[in-house]
Amino acid sequence: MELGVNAIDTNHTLTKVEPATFALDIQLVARMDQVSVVRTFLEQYLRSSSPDPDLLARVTVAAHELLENAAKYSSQPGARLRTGIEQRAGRWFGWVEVANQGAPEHVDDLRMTVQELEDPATAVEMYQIDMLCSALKGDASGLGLARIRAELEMDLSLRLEGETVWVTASATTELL
Amino acid sequence: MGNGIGDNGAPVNGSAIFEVNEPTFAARLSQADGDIAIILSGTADVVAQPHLEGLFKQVDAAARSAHSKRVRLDIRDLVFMSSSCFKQVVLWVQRVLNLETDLRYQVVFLSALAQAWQARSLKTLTHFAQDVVRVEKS
Repeated sequence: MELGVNAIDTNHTLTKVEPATFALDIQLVARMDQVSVVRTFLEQYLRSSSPDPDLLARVTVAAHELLENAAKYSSQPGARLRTGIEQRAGRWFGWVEVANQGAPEHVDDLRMTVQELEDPATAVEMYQIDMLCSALKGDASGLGLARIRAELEMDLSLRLEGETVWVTASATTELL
Repeated sequence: MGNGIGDNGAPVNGSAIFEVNEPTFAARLSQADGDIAIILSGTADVVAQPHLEGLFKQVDAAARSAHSKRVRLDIRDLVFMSSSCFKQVVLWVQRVLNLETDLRYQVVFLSALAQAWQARSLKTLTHFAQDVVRVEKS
C-alpha cells in the first residue's frame, strides 16, 4: 500500500476550529483489501485524542465505509483521507473526510444520496428500506452512507473541487 | 450457561460443521443436538464477506434439519463489521423472518459492551427484525 501521512494544523484546512489541534491527512491508494489496515491505524492514532469510545468508533467506522466507497467507485486509484477528534465550542467533534476522483455518473448518484439522507428521520427510514431492498433483491448495493447517517448518527456532506469529490462525515458529543 | 451451551456461545462438545480461519477473520459454526452456535472473531471486511454468505446458508440448512428454535451468534471478539458484511447478516435474518412460524427460530447475539460499534449495529438490526433478534451483552 502506498501511504503518506502528515499531521496537519486544522486551522489551515477547516474554519471555526478552536483550539488549534492536530488532525491526520493521509494520501493512499484506495484498495478494498487495505481499508481495514487504514481503519486500524486510525483507531490507534485517534484513541489518544478521544475520551469517548463511541465517538472513536463512529469516526473509524465512517472512515472505513467512505474508503470502501472510494475503492469501489473511484475512477483513479488515489484517494485522500483527513480525520480528527478535537474539542470545539465546549463539545467533542469527530470528523472524517475522504476525497477521490469520481466518475461523473457516480458523483450524481452520490450527491442525490447525500441529499436524501440529510433529514435524520428520513435517514433512519431510508436505512431500513435499503436493508429491506438488499434482503429482497439479495444484491450487494451500498448501505455504507445510510449506515453513517442513520446508525452512526453523523452529518454527511459532499463538495466538489474540480473532479475531486470530498465526502465528509462528522459528529459531536458532550464533553465527558 | 445451560442447555449444552458453553461460555463462548458454542454448544458443549458440538462439532464444527463450517469453519473459516483467515489471518484476520475466523468463523465457526457448530451444532450439538438442537443447539446451533456461531462464533465470529477478528475483522469482518472484504475478506470475510464471501465466507459469511456461505456460513449463513449453512446455518439455514442446519437449523432446518435440527428443527432449532434458537441460533446463538457470538460476536464478542469481532472488532469490526463493514456494511457489506452486515448486509449478509440482514439477508440471513430476513430469510428467518420469511420462514413459516413453526420453522422460524430466534437469533441471539452475544455482544461485547467494549465493542462500541456493536451496540449501534445491533440496535439497527433489532429494529429491523424485532420478532426474531435478541441481544445479550457482556
